[in-house]
Amino acid sequence: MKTRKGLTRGKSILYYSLQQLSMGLSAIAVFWLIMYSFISIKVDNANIPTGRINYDWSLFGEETAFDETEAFDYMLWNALRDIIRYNVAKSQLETDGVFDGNKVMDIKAFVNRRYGEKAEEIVESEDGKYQPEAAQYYLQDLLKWDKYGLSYEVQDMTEEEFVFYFGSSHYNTVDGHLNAEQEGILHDYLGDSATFLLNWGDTDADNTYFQITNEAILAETEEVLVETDSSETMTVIHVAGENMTHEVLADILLTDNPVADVYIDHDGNIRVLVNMLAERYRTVNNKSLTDCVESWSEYVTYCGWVEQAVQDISYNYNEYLGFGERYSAENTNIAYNFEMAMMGESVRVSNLSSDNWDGLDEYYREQYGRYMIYRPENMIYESNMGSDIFNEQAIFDAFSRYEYAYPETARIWLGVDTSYPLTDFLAQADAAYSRLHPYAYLLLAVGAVGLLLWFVLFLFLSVKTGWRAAGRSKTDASGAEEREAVLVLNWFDDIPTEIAAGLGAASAFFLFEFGLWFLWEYFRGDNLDIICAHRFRTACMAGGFVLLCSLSFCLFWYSLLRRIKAHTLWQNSLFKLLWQKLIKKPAMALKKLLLKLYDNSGVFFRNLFIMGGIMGLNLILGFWFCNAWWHRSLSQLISVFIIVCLMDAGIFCIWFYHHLKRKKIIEGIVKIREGELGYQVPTDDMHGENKQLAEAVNSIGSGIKEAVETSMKDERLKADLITNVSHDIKTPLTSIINYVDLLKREKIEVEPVKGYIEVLENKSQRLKQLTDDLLEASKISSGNIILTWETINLTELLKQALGEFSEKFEEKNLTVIESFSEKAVNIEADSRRIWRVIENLFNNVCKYALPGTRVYLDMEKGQQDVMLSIKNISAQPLNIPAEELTERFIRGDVSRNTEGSGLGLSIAKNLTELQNGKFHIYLDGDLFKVSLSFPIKSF
Amino acid sequence: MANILVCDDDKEIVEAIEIYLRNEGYSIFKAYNGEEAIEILQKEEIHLLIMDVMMPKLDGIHATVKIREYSSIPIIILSAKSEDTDKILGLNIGADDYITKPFNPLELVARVKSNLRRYTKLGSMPQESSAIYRIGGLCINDDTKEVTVDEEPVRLTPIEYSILLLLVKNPGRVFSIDQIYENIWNEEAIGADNTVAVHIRHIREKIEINPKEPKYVKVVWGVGYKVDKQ
Repeated sequence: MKTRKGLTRGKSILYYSLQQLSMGLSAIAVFWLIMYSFISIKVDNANIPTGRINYDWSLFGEETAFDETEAFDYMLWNALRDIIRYNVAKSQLETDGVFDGNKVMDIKAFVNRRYGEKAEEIVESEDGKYQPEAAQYYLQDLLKWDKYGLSYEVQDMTEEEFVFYFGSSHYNTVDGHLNAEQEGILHDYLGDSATFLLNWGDTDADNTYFQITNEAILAETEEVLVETDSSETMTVIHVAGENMTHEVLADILLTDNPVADVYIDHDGNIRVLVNMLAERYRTVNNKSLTDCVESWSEYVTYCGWVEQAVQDISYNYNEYLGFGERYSAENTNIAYNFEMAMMGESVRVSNLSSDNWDGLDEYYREQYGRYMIYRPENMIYESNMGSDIFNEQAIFDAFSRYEYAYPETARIWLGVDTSYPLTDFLAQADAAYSRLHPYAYLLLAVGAVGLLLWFVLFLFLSVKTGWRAAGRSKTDASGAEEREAVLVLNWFDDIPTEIAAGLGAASAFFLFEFGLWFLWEYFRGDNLDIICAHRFRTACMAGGFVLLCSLSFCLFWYSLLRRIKAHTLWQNSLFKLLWQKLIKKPAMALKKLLLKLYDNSGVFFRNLFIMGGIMGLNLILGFWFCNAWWHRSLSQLISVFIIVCLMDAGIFCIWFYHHLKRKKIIEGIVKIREGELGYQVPTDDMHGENKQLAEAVNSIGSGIKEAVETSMKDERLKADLITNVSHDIKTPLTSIINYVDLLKREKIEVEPVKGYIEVLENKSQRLKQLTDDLLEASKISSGNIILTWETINLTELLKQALGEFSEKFEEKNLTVIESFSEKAVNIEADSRRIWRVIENLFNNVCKYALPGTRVYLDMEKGQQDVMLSIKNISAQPLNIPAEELTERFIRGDVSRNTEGSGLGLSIAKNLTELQNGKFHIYLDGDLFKVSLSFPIKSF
Repeated sequence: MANILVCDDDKEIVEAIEIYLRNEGYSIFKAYNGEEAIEILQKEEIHLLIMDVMMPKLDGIHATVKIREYSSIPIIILSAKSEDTDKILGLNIGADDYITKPFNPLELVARVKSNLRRYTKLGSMPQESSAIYRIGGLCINDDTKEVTVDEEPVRLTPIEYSILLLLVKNPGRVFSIDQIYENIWNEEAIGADNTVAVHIRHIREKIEINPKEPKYVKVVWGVGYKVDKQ
């Protein structure tokens, strides 16, 4: 049998620690790799929402240096875009290459610069009609405005004031719809006769219109129906005339503009609430924004433009400052020359010290490890970048974002000094990349090996956990020390299963939450700079966290396994406690009570117990059924049906259980009949008649067993007795024989003494013979003999026997008449035992045959058997029955004065029968005949 | 003459054996259990040991095993245990001969002599011509037609000699009566009577110490006769 080997305490702790360490190591290696696979660059412009750009790269690519990676190209690509943006901003903010705070910014032109809008010219019209002021501000005012904040304030004004501010110039279109409140206000103002209907195609597609039924207004309006498409008809009210206020009001109400609202005060005057821009700064001509607009709606539009212009300018200004610093020659390894026509003027920018714009192609090719030249006017694009991120189309697209610029006029040279003499983000990224790139595969291998080791130890410990090597309890055949394992549980395994599971779930939840929190809190925002500065420490922290996860997982997992191995998963659970105390115990008590009642009652009550119960239930069910039928209640009928089914199933179970036990009893009886006397039918879970029957069978079985055992013991004792006695006789007999022999050698010639010695000698020899025969006979009769089966030629045997006995026969003057065939007759027998049979029979002949007579030896071969018979004439009259001759100690002469033990025929008979032969003795007067028959061995 | 140690817990038997063997001229040492026997063996120069099996303190089987660890003298076990298994056990653990009680004194003496001869004189196998056949102590010289058992010459008739030679020349092979007849008389064995069996019995009586338990010419009852390979 295979011995289960356990671990010592020290070893199991060692393996456990090793497993956790390998996980930690693996995690650290992997996290280290991850840590050195990215760089986070903070963008200096606060207006960019994310504020930083992350680049990542693979340490396992084909690249050998950082400037071959895609990340490098992306960084450079972003740098290029930054430079373009810088130059755009520069063109907006500078005059003659210097920042100019007094630059005049036309709001409309600036906001709409993408659409090629030009600055407005202030024109005095000839007809003296009022021309609005151009909305132009100083650049520094706009920047300051953004800095101190743009705000609105609500102005409460009368209708007249409103017209004063915003004029009453005509409104081209009024469209929209009114809600109930607005409709109410308009209704109050216009009078009862006014009706407003406004539908936007949702109720009746063909009938959508805005109808003003007030006669006074109606006279001044003309209705224009504009069909936009078949499903939606828009009604446009074109209002014209002198009395504009109404329409302005309608416009405010209709446009649903949050900037303004209309209400009627308690005097019945209409008042307007307008959300107006707080004009911190005025235009270059020291005018208000209201002076620049012709109408209320234009004012709203201009407010939006001012807001956007302030934002854009401020944003660009920030970029201008940030990028200007970042891409100045002292801060970056990137060199560029940039030329482009923007807003009609050509801009040339470079961060090279020399202002020479000739031969730049050659210069960049020679001077920089990576470079890019783009001159679309000459159809030139040239680059030695590693990836295809840089291409002509991409650069064209980048320029096209600024449609007010003219990409075809651009010329760009971009280069990177790949020896990184300055510490910029490229240098940082390169440092990070080069730090681990040579060891990437080594670390990966460490990670993989650690993980593999963890897994191997996990499997190993899963099998071994709990099995502790005991002391030296066993030594196997080879002498090697074997330690038999015992299952050892620790204190943790003794905590009830549910509590342990709860702890496990709680720790998993905590670790998960903590992990998530860590990810969110730690890996974001400016922490990334700290992470980039302390990459290894971060990797160690993350590795430690993974180690903690592994540690806690293993703790619970191994405990689970140990519980399963020790079968304490259920044993040690709270549910089991509940189940046992609350359900199992009372149920068992009830069952016990019922069974006790059943067992102790008579046949009548016992049958009543089951049958009465069934009948009673039947009766109740019958009544119920009738009741249900009467009331036509389907639910009750179904209930009755289900209960009947359950009851039938129950009856079947009882019936089946009963017969199952009956079958056990029958099996027991069969076993006892087949000789397995010690078999006991288990009666523990039997009841009633079955139990009585089983107990009766058991007592019969054990009774028979006892009887058989007693008789077998007696027989064995008898055989042992004979063996021991004959053996103990032999030792003194040896002395007797030896000393008689010594006496004989004294050559005593005194007559009577000589005769005595001869008697002594004869009797001691007979005693010896008797002892041997007795031993043999007892052995044979007790079956304590092992036969060696072989093929025996009976003819040969008889010839050999006759040869052995020839002289003995001659001494008695006996003539042997043989009659057997010369052909071999084979039987299956034990060579020595069959010889013993023949020897005994021939000896018998020699002892008891009448001298001078004939002895007949016949052998007849039949179909199946061979018959051997020996006939002789007895010297003494045979006055005892033939059957008794083969009993022990019976001899032909009752007086017993001839030699022989009286065991010869008994031994011969027993041995013959042991060898599947038949042994018969016939007596007919003085004729003594022994016949043997053996089955012939056929080949 | 040789020194013989007799070991039996029955003093009378030891004394009887002493008388027989002293008559033959041997010096006798006596022991009454296995431990005594081993003590004497260590002190005296003993040439042969006769030992009982069932003895107090240390029985014959264990004593034999111990003695065989350092001595190769002939050991004859003399026991009342007559089962085959007892004999096989005794001979297997190192005894050279096994005699059952009650024993024939003459047989005991003969076996002692035989064993001593084998131990003292016939220790090594001499270089012999091809005409000499040896099976244990039995030696047949086909040139001189002499047969000796343990160096003692035996007188055989020509027929007996031929039969013995046939068996010895083919040790291990079992010859049936008919085969022996055909080989010796050179005629077909039709109606051959029990002559061969009688001759074999005579040979056994001449060369065996105890013809009922033959050492050389063995009877396989119901099959034939054979001489075992040594």
